[in-house]
Amino acid sequence: MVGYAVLFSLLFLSSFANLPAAGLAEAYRDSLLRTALVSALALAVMIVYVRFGTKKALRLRFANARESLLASFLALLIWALFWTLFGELSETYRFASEPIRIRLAPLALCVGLLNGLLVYAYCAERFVTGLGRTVGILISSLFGWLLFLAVSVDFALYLFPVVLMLMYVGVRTDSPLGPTVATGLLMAFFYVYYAASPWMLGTRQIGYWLMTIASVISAFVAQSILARFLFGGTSYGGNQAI
Amino acid sequence: MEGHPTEETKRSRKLPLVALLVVVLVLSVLVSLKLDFDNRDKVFQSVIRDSEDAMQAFQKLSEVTSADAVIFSWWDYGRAIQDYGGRKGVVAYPSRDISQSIGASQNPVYAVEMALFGIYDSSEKIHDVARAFVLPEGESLAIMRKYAATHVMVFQGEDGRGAFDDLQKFYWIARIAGYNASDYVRINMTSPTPSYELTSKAEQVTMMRLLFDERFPPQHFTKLYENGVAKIYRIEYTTFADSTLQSLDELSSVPARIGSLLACPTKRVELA
Repeated sequence: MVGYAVLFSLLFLSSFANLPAAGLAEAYRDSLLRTALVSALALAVMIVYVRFGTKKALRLRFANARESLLASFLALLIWALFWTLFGELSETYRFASEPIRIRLAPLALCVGLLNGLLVYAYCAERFVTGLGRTVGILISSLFGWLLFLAVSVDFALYLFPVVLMLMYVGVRTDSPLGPTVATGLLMAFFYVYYAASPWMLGTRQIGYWLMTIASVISAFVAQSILARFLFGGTSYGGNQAI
Repeated sequence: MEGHPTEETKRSRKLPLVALLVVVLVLSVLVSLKLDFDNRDKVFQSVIRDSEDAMQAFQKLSEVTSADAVIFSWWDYGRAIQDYGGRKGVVAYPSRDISQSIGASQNPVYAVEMALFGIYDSSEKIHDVARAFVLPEGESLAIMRKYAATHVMVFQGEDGRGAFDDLQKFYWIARIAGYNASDYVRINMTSPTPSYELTSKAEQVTMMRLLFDERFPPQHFTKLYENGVAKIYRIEYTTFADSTLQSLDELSSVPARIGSLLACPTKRVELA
């Protein structure tokens, strides 16, 4: 909570920084740089706090890295497959690109990685320990998704189920590495590409709600497949059912 | 028996923490929404910065108009008129009742952001501006005078986003004014880039006269500047007043004319 309070307070303060008016590419770059710097600063504060303020060390659990990466990419792949296929087959939404953002994809990747480190590596574990698994995952996912929103990844509503899914993978595999890398890739991709609905004109918001509902279903399918075939009811980390 | 106080102590300890968590969460949501809103809010200004012609047109305002000039335009351009042109615009923000006409409001997240952080102009003003663009020149001038407008700026640029294309915006402008845009312009959406066909009624519409001034020369506006994106006109209230006075003169001379006609010896037809 202290970590998130620091992070969002810094983000709030940074919004008062009056940057000179610039073109679109510069405006996007400045927004990404601001979030990257603030996330890095918040992460540094958290690391210092963990090192000197608490007894619990920050653990990345490299031992489970392989399983975590495998599960995260598999989850992302299943979700993307279902979600994209539904959009294409129903002709309700498809990917559109913002060409001016292509050059900024590496910077967006860095923001995503920092976001992942903050959310999965440090905060999620504490929320899950303190509030219980379900509430902990939900709260951590919400904080993680808010960073997508703060960066202005267009129409980020449909990304919330993905963050939730990755959070679940992180808790089940007991390693934040997979979800962190997956979040970085997710941020980089969706910073350049976004889903657009042909229903955007003429009707209000229906297209976006449909994308979100399809995303929820796809994430649920991905999570169910992982739980059934990959996790098999036990966690990698503790050899205990969670 | 000993367990109860421990449970209560635990609960009393948890309560402030949960309350704190809720506060942090709510504030974080607000901060994220505000940042996203600010980022999106800057997009149009940045698009203008990227367009050399658009920047030139706005900056030209400070050269071709006096410092106290008031510029009449659709609300989209109001802030750029102030920021880049250094002049006051009649409207710079939408009104709450026209949020449906804003493309980004189709996104539920942005709709919430607009409701929380958006700045709005009065509905009356927005509807007046829309009507002034759709009505014939004579009636438009009365509305422009109401807001002390001295100049009009219209946009004809094509940047692929429709950012500077008033013809593309005319569908909503007419709808907001209470008219049917298709009575004045037909949009052909069969090709990737839509084409527009003006109807015979388009000639009466002030915006069309300003956009297509070579085809329908405006009577009460003098063009001061034009480039690939925008046109700047001075509103000629004097010619409007002259023509109004002329009409009034004509009207006032009617009784005299009738009198003179009555005074004229009439030819009496007599029946045999």
